[in-house]
This record gives sequence, structure tokens and C-alpha cells, in this order.
Amino acid sequence: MGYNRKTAGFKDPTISLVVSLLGGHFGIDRFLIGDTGLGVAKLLTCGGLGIWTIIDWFMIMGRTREVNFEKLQQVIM
Amino acid sequence: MPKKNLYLLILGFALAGYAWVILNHYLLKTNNPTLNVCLFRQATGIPCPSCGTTHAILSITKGNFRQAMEENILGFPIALMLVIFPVWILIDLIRKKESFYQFYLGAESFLRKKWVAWSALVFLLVNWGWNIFKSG
Repeated sequence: MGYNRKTAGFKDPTISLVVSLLGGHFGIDRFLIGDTGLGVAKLLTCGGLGIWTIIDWFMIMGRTREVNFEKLQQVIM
Repeated sequence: MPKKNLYLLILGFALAGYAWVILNHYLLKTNNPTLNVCLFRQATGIPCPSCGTTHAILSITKGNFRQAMEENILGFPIALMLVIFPVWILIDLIRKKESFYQFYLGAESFLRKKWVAWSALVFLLVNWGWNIFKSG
């Protein structure tokens, strides 16, 4: 039985970028990809004093792919 | 996230946090306005859920707990984390253990539980409403 993107819980990097642009300040982008701890940290620090919010606009797509890859490894193993 | 990356990240955050608090303490002491770096507040004019936490932490350091609660109650968990987490991580690094990493993973899975996430969301929204109300 094969896994599709949804059942394995993969996230679309483009969607995470859009979420990061709109709600990154509140850590919603990090919550979305499963980085709950970092989401809380971002939320509690005004988006890392605004700096982390901006950095994540450029980093979140790569991190989403990383998280997807980690999930893929878990599915395969 | 690998343990090493997490520890480095949190130690970096703690250092930045201490630098930020000390800078704002100095600014307040010299009667300068504190820095407003909240992108959300600058863009909308509305404070974000965590606006006021720097002032709250400064009030906690002076023992003004009531004032800290009025400024932003989130200052309490942040102040606790700033004190406990770096020490915990340093002890872990010295003793070559990973107790903080296990705690972090446990806390993450606890926060992912539906009832915890919803309770936290409701609390944050109420606190945010209070933050907006008192600034208006």
C-alpha cells in the first residue's frame, strides 16, 4: 500500500512560505511544519524581535523539505 | 532537530535574550524610550500577543510581580526559561547527558495534544485581547 502526501503528513513548501509571510510573526509557520517548540519560542518573542520572522521567510521552504525528508525516512523504515 | 543544533540554538537565544533585557534596562535607566521592534505592531498599530514581555521581565527582576502581570503575564514563563534552560543545557553538556533534549521532545508532544493546544490558544487569545485593550 503506497502513501500519498496527505497520509504521510507532508507539507507543501510553498504553502509554508505563504503562511510564513502572513503568520510567521506568531510562529504559525513553525507550528505548521511540526516544529512546535520553535513555534512557541517565536510566538513568545515577538517573532524573535522581528529578526527571526524575516529570516524564516527565506529559510522556511528549506526547513519544510527537511521535515518532509525526515518523515519520508520514518515511513520507509 | 538534532540535539547539538537545538542546544546551540537555545544557548544563542538565551544570550540574545539577556543582551536584549540588559539593553532595555540601560535605556529605561537613562530615560530613553525602549526599542519597539515588533513588526506586527509597526505594521498594524496593534500590539502582538507577546508585546510588553520585555517590560514584564524587567519588572520581575526588580521584584514588581504585580506590575509584570499587568504588562504581560507571558513575561513569567520567558523569565523562567531564560534562567533555567541555559543552566540545564550547560549541565547536560558537562555531564554528557541529554536530559534537556528528552524534556524538549516530551514538551513538544505534550503541546501537540489537542486539549493542550486548544487551552493554550484560548489563553493566548484572552491575553492578547487584554494586551490590545490596555494599549488602546
